[in-house]
Amino acid sequence: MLTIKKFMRTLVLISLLISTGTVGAQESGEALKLNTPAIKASQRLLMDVQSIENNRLVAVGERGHILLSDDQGESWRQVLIPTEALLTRLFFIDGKVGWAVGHQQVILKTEDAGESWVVQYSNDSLDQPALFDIWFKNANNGIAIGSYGLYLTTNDGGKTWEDVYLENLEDEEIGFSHFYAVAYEPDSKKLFMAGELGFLAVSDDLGQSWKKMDSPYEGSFFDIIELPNGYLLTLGLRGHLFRSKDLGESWEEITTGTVSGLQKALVLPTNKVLIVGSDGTQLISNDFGKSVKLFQRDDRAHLAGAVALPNHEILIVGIKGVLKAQLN
Amino acid sequence: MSRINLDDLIKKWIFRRCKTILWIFGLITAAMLYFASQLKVDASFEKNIPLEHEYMKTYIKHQEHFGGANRVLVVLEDKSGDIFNQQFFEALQDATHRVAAISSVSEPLMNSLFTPNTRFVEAVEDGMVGGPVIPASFDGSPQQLQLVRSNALKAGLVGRLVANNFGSAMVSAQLLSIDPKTKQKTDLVGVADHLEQIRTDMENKYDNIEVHIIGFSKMIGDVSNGAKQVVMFFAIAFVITAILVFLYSHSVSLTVLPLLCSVVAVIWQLGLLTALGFGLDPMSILVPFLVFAIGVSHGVQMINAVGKNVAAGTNSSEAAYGACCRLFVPGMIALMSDTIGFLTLLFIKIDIIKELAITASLGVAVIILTNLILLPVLLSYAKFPANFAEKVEQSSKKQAVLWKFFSGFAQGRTATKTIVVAVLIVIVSIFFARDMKVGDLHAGAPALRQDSVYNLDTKFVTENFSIGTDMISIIVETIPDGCTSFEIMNAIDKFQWNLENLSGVQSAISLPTVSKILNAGFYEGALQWRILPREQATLVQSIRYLETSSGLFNSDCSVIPVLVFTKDHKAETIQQVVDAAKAYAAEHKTENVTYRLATGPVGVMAATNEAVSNAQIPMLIWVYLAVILLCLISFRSIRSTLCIVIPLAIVSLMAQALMSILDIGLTVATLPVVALGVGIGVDYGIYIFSRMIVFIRAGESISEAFLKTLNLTGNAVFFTGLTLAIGVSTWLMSVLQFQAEMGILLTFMFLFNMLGAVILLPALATVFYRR
Repeated sequence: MLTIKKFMRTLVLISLLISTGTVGAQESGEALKLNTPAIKASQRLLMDVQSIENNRLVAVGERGHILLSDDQGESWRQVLIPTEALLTRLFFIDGKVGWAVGHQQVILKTEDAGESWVVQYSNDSLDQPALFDIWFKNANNGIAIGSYGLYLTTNDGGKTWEDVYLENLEDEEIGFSHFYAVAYEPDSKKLFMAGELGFLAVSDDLGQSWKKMDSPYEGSFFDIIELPNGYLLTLGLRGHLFRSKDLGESWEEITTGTVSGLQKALVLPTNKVLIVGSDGTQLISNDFGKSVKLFQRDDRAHLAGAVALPNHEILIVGIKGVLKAQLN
Repeated sequence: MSRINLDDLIKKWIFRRCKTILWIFGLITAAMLYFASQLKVDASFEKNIPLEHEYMKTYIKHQEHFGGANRVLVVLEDKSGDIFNQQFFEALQDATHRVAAISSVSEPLMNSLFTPNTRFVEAVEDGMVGGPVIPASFDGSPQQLQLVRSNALKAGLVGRLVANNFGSAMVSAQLLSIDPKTKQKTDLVGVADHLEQIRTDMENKYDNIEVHIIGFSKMIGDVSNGAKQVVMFFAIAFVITAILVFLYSHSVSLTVLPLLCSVVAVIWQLGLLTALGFGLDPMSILVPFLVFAIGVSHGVQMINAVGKNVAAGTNSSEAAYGACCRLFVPGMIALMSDTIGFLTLLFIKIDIIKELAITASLGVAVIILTNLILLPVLLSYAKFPANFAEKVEQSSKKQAVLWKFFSGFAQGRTATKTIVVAVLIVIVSIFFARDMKVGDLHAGAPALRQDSVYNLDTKFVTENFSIGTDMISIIVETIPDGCTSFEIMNAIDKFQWNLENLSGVQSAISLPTVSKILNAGFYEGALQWRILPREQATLVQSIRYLETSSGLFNSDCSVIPVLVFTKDHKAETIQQVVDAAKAYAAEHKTENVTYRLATGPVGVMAATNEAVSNAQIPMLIWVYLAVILLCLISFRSIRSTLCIVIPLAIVSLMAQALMSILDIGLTVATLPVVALGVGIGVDYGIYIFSRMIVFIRAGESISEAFLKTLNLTGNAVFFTGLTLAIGVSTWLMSVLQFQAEMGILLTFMFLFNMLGAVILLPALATVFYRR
């Protein structure tokens, strides 16, 4: 048995080498163990939540938890997947097809609205290798970004991923920043990245090449989003929030009234902007980010993501799992 | 030994040496009175737990590093609902100092907002900053209070040291089992008094503060204080018993003497406790009652016989001699069966029950001396009023109607019906008894009533904080520096997650949990980084700044406890956690990781529950074996033995059914009740059957034999049941839940064993001795 295992591992290693950094799903999936259903998963760390077809909610979080809810978050069921890594973000290209990324560079894909997932990629070779965001232009072309300048691209819907070394984004002194978030502005067809230590970058060719942007802040950005009117918001450490009306050429700082870290922003169906963060921080903007109003939750829970429900309620995820927004 | 010889011996050694005997008893009583006055209350924690149980070995082994189960939580509540005001912080600091001043409190293991180990770490633009949650420059200004609030949030203290609603804050202290100042075992009751003093002082000094205190030693203190009420119950029981004995005996002498003898027995019992180095604990404080009640009930047999003799015309001395001769053997057997019934409790490996066994059996052994020697001697001096014989005659006539009724149970058809009813009772009892639960069935401290201050405080703490005292800690033993290995830390984390998913578990914490939080701290608090680092250097970095005083690992990081907070400590909840932990441990055992159950208050309860439930069957076997053996020896007949033992067994079963109906769990307190109930309950059967068998062997019909027996001893048997029941039923008034529960069960067993002896026993005899 042992020798067979050893042989298999060698095989995987060889295939790693010959595919020049591209790892197929089948090889790496075998090494991972199936995790167990956990009834309290919806009360523990969840990082992201999305609404897909038929108002289904999909949430991802720690220990490889992928949870589905068909009743607006009242009840959740776990989908078993072959990884126990912390999953950080979700991206759906339509109501059925989407990806989840997380630690150990794991990339999972679903084509049936979250019912089943396959591991497309996973690589545990680096120190703390993790993916923090994923974005697809269409069903085939996409990028995944992560720790220490980790940058993966695909042209076949994720069947194969290429590990790209973005040399010009490396800082001479400190090396690569963690890439925390990616945003796409459709009118200008520009792609933006935000990350650690004030890192901001822009791509005019859908991620083929990148260039660093001047940053208004030396602290870390945990998220960047585009607004319906073409503005950009980026946010991060110690309550820092910046807005750009000119696709990142210049930034204005928005007063938030909090020093808690801001984790994620999203545009609600009403065109309001919601930002969530540590210590129960909830910020709402009614004017495309010109000003924000702070609502701090009584439970002071650290928050990571949110989604608007059809009934206009807002569901939030974070350290305590699924929560209802408190915006009064 | 033939009857003639025994009678001679009694005459020679007792009735010819009356004066000597009185002197000897007088002197010993005086000495015992002195010893009894030195009696101390002793309620050490270790006494209540099964030290030989596997879990408790883990507990003792790791006690030094992780503290045991003996934690006290002092919670200060601000009545305004918000703690962020200057006065509250003054009060909290004051309370912290005062708790720290208790000599048995381990200062390094103490936590409050004001202790130096309460620190926070936070990420800023150019790295990490950290410091005490309450800055050194703290002056109580609104700005500073805001700062403390945000520091407390950063340090993750909400739910732990600060209430979830910010309406109260906690001082948490670990008690050492040896007081470093006195080098003696920690005086738990003393600590409890100290804490109570802090409560009074704080509430007087600060108008807006309400104090809630929980923890084992506070509970023991409240229990001990509650136990002191027992003195009052004793007085009540004494007075009621005295009145009843007088109504029964129609004679002052016959009232005073058995009560006096029983009091002498109590004095001896208490004196012997001190002489043997035992103290009185809240459970064994009930033993003097039992001794008194047993003394009086057996004394009643004696005065009944003496009274009948005197009424028949003999003088006091002859009457006492005659009664003594006739009652010596059955009295001895009955009391010996009581003693042996108590001694079977020695098989239970919990010190507090062992001590109960010793103190109770000592007490009953003493009654053998006071009732079978002292009482007859005293009775031989008794003076009776001129109309005594007349009065006895009158009441006998009244009772005769009653005995006629009861003798009906020994007649063919009624006997059969009685047995059918008994069988039905057995079936119904089995149905209910199956539901009997082991352990404490209610939230809060089971020893105390649900509405006691302590239990209300417990409720407050569990409602306002995420932690309580309901914690079971499973100790993971691994290799030195085990906490620097991802494989080991990940194994612990998975084990913990497995337990967290149980319905009875509120939350859990261990080193991996904290490692994840701190790791995210190194990445500027980004939730994306709340992972257990797989890389050794990063893993080490994540826990580098933790101190062993966190209680999450030992000095060489080879022992890592998983602290599981349960939603309550009901038996099912504990069982669920223990079963899940054992199953997981068995399935995932590796060379380097061993999961050991269990410490923490709930761990102790788990061990106690297991010890109690394991002890139940052996204890029943031993107590019944003892009773059966004694019956066989004294009656030399299997039929007789069955007549006596079957009603007993049915009543034991009914008691179990009663426990499940009344929601009384099998605990350290209620387990001994069965043994006590059977040991004492057999007395009725022995007294009745020892008379009846003589008539049966003389060829009389069962109903005739039974009627004659009842005429001779019936009222004594009824009266015995009554006095015993009164003695223990006063416990129902106790503020202590377990005393009340013991009281209910013992009252039930005493009364129903009596009824069993006068109803079922003759019915069974009719069947077994059918001609």
